[in-house]
Amino acid sequence: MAIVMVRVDERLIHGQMALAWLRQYNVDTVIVIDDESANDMMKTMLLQMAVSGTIKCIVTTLANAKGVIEANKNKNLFLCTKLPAVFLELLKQGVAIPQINIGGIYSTPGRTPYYKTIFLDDAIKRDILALEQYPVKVEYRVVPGDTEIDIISELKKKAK
Amino acid sequence: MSILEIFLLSLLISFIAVETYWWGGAIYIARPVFAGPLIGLIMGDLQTGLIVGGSVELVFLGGLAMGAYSPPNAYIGGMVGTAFAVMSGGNLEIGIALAYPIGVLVQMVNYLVTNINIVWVERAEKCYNEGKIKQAELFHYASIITRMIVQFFLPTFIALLIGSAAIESFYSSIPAWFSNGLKISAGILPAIGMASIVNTLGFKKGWPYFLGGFVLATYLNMNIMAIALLSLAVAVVMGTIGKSNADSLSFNFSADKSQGILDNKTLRSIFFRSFTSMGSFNYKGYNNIGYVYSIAPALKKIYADNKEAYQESLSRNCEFFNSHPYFSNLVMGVSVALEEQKSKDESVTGASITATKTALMGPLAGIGDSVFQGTYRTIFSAIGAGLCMAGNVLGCFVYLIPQIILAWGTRWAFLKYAYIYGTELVVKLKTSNLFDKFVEGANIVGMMVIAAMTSSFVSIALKPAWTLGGKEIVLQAVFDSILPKFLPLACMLMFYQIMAKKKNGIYICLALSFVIGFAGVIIGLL
Repeated sequence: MAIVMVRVDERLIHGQMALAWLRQYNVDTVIVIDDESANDMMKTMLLQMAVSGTIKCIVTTLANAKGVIEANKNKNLFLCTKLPAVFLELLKQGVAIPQINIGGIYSTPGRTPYYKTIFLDDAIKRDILALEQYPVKVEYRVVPGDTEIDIISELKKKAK
Repeated sequence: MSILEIFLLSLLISFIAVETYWWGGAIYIARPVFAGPLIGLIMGDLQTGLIVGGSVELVFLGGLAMGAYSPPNAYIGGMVGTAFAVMSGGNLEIGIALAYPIGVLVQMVNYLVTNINIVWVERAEKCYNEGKIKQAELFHYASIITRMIVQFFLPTFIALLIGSAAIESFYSSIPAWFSNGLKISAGILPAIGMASIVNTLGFKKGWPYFLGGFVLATYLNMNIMAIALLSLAVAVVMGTIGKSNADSLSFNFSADKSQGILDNKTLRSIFFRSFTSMGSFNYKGYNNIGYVYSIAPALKKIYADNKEAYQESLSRNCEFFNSHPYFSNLVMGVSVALEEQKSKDESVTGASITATKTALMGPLAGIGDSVFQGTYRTIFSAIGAGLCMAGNVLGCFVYLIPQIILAWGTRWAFLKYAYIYGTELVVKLKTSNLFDKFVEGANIVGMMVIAAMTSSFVSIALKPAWTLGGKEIVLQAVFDSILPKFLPLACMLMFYQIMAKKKNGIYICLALSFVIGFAGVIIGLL
């Protein structure tokens, strides 16, 4: 019982999440860490609807995240957020995260494409590289069945 | 078959396959359970079509499309597999065995075509930005036609050309152990789809229903249709036990809202255009062009006397969009209502409309993919496949009719009621717990029907028989006296364990089906 999986996806909970990720890992509670969604009733409700019947969904702010994770530590948790900076902060606060899947950071002006679903700007790239200092496995996959790509070493290679 | 016949057949197959991007509105009529028998009928062998279509549907059952991920292509796999089976004179195993590899090849071409289509998409975007709407729409259709020709027509045409020649020259000369091995493997392959559904629905919670379905089929010899209907009754009963009257499904909205300036005629135009909303799928904006193409008639009407605002909304609606095809219509309804408000007062900005679309699209995709695709379509296609495999053409319609009702019904209802009531519709959907109730009921129906299908349609039986002291001992009969249909059950449960525990378990199961089939025949066990 603990944090089973952790995903960075700007669209938070959507098709792949509900269908592939939550079914692949034996999850009973999803914790969405996103200030904007937590402070908006409609967004919170949508996220709760998106997760199918038996799985619970908690939407919380970054400030409250550590507390919510602690309170639910005897459940199988799936954490989800929009950008890597959130998990960087949680790791700084001492939360034990075994693996981070970078799944979807989408195309907006100012970002360069790296993979099919990964578009980065300098700030986000810095955050991903900063994850290296913590004992956490960081990988890129679109769906659970894909091969895990070591995104940090790939980014470092491209920087050379 | 002559080259002309192959050409025409390929054209037909590619037209049926492109339905989800074009004329059908994603009713998934091209899935093996319907399109297989259809192709069989056209080629003069409905029975073969039914059995191959039903079996192949089960092989592809676990493959679900979500976002940028497209599974091995069930449409071409199913239709070409059926064609091969009919061409070889009703040798089902040829069709069933080849369907998945063909599907994998077409899956790769899918990614290729999505990348090619970016050419049309960028031109369409440019045209929308310049107000050249008719031209933009041509590029939207160019994407659709490109997909039909490059992803569906070409692979089918090539496969049928090679395949028909190969079947004619080689099939008669392959050794008996190979064709028998293929036959046995083809009888095991359907267990893959069944294991996939059991994995999806959750065996740990659903096993009592599975046991019930298995007993009814194996010991009482009830047929699939009977078990399906019974399971529906059980699901409803289980759903109503312990629920109070407060849990109602009625949709009473708060106030009587008027419809605004978009009349039913305009909404109908959006409705039909929305059928092509997945047509220009690309990895940059996903379904952006399909979205703006669909709502364009509404924008034209709303901004009729403000050319600048009209142009701004066209360009803005070319932004990233991805959601479930039916739920996209809900977002369309909400967004055109917001555009109408924007045209009247300054309080609604373009940025707020974008934010609303963004907030809605992800979660609605989650519900759509898990409930409509992962549960609703899966259950009906499994029941339909079961009936087809029993040679009953009713199976095709048990699949298709619910699909049409869902696809066209939700597309219209979501569009219209989201336009009138806005996001209040979403609140209603949540508080009614409609989807949760449906999923719970579907789990019960699914478990019972799959158990029955495991008993009836996974063919694996032991051959050895010998005489001992004057008595004939048939090995399979020994097993049957302990637990009938033990081998099909064991096989399916083994596949389920593999899929539950291993990433990409389906490939292991596929390989095992063939290994068991061939090894079994060579050893003399099967």
